[in-house]
Amino acid sequence: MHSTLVRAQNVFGFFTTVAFIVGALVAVTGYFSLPSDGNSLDVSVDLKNVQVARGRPHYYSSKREEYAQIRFDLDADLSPLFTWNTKQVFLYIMASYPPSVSSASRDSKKKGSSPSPNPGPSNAIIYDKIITSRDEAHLELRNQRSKYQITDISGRIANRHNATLEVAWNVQPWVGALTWGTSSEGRSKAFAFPALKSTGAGGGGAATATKKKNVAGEQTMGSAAPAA
Amino acid sequence: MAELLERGRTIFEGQIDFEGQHKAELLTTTLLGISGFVAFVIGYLLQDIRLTLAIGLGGTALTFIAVVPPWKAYNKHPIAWLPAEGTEAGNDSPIIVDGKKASEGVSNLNAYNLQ
Repeated sequence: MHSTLVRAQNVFGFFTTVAFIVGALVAVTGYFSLPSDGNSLDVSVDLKNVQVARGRPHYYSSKREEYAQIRFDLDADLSPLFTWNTKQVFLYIMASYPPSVSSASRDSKKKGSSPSPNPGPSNAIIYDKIITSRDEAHLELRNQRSKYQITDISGRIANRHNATLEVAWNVQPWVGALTWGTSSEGRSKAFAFPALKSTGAGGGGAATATKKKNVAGEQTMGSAAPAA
Repeated sequence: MAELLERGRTIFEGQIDFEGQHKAELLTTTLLGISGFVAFVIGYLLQDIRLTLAIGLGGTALTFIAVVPPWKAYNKHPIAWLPAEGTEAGNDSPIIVDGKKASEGVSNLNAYNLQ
């Protein structure tokens, strides 16, 4: 501590130690201030409408896939997730459905004679929202259109049963670890993706923001290849 | 010119005495420790993490101001060096090592050092 430079180094060195300890305390208290069980939150989601239409992943794609457009109601009060250490909450709604039969059989062929284990449900996010303050944490969405039109990895999603909508969230703190949560209340009744709509017009059918272009593309494709 | 350089170096180095170093060390630990503790407690009680950040950084800035410059309070106990050999004051007070006068051997060396 004899010279200016050494004193500055010493003060800064001990400052980093103090900052680390305070940060650790903030992370720990923030984590234990979160509700330990997602079921204590007031969350519910209901399916309002679901349609399946053909579309392309992007405008210049020759591939045509089935896309589901979902409408839903959401009631959620996520304010208990806002502790003093919460920076923002990422809320998302997933459509969860059993994996396709065709992809499962392909898997079992690859692995030989042994039957493929149950791969569990496929999840696709249809809607999300970043909530940055406690004031915005109360959500009431009515007949909300999904942000993302979803398809399966096989490209076919029509006529699938036992699908559900599921609300989940990710708490992002100022200091510390990310935490994820779900609620058993935040799960809709099982529904089925309907059969494919006969024409490309209306409804969904686009994977991206270029929805109008895609619908127009559908019509020209339809006239060129009426067998679809 | 050399005197000016010497003065500049003294300001830049900002040396303090041993007592001052002890004080500076103690002050660093207590000020930073207290500001960290207060930052956490106030922030937690008022549920405001920005306040924690503000108090923590403010306390750190205060510590830097209090400790880093060579304040006069850190230079109140200058070391009383023995006078150099060969000077008038040095001849009056010989250096005693283990009860013996060590001035003879040292004064020979001084003949070189003074050049």
